[in-house]
Amino acid sequence: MYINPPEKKDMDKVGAFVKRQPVTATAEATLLDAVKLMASHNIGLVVVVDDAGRPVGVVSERDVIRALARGAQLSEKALDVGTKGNLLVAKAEEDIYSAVKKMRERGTRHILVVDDAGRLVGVVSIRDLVEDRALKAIGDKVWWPPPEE
Amino acid sequence: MKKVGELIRRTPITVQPSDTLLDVIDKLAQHEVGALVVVSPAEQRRPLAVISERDVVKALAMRMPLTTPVEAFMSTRLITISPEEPVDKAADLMITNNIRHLVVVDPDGSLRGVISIRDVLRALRT
Repeated sequence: MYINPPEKKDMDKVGAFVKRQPVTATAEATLLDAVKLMASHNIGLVVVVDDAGRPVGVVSERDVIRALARGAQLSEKALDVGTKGNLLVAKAEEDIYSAVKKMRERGTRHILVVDDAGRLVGVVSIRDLVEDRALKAIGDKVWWPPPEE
Repeated sequence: MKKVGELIRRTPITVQPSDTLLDVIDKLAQHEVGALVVVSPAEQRRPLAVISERDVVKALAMRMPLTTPVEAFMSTRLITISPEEPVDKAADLMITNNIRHLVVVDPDGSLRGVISIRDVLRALRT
């Protein structure tokens, strides 16, 4: 289920792995706002964007857990417990393998996909990558539906 | 293809059903893991359920107090796998059940460990 169905030749590009609209919050969002977004969308990462839609930070489930473990309140600013700046980003036309490499080096489960103006267009998660790897590894086994092309 | 058992990197971190969400939060943060195995006090080697970061986030979104017992938010629909299974079977289970962790159990049903989607991706790539 792709937002923009990729051409077959583009299947190795980051853009081909963006499978849903990104879930975003503003810099004013509280930890509770972020938690509610995660729960209602069943996702593990909320991206904080500026007025132009450019990512300025991310808040992950793990950030929430760590914050609470050190006694943070849900009324705190989400951005204060997440990662602010120095975000892991890729362009849609970038090779997926360089994106995977960056994720592994940083130890993150997500990479933000941005356009030429730096605006957020999507998020690729480790799940999207495992899905693709699994499809390739499993190949033509009958109990697995064929990969969409 | 690697076997699931080769991906287990540590003894599983466990909690009991009567422990609190705060206990879970502390253990998740302390051990830097994404999920804990819930076991009964009587049978420490028999997994009952899993409680993950996602389960905690859902509880927080409902404004549940951190004193809420684990049993209120744990996932009792336990998805397990044998250590002898190939890694692609683990990937399949994670994708079809939309989960990031699998509980690895021996043939007698006793708890062996937990593998994460990160472990699986690493194994599929190598």
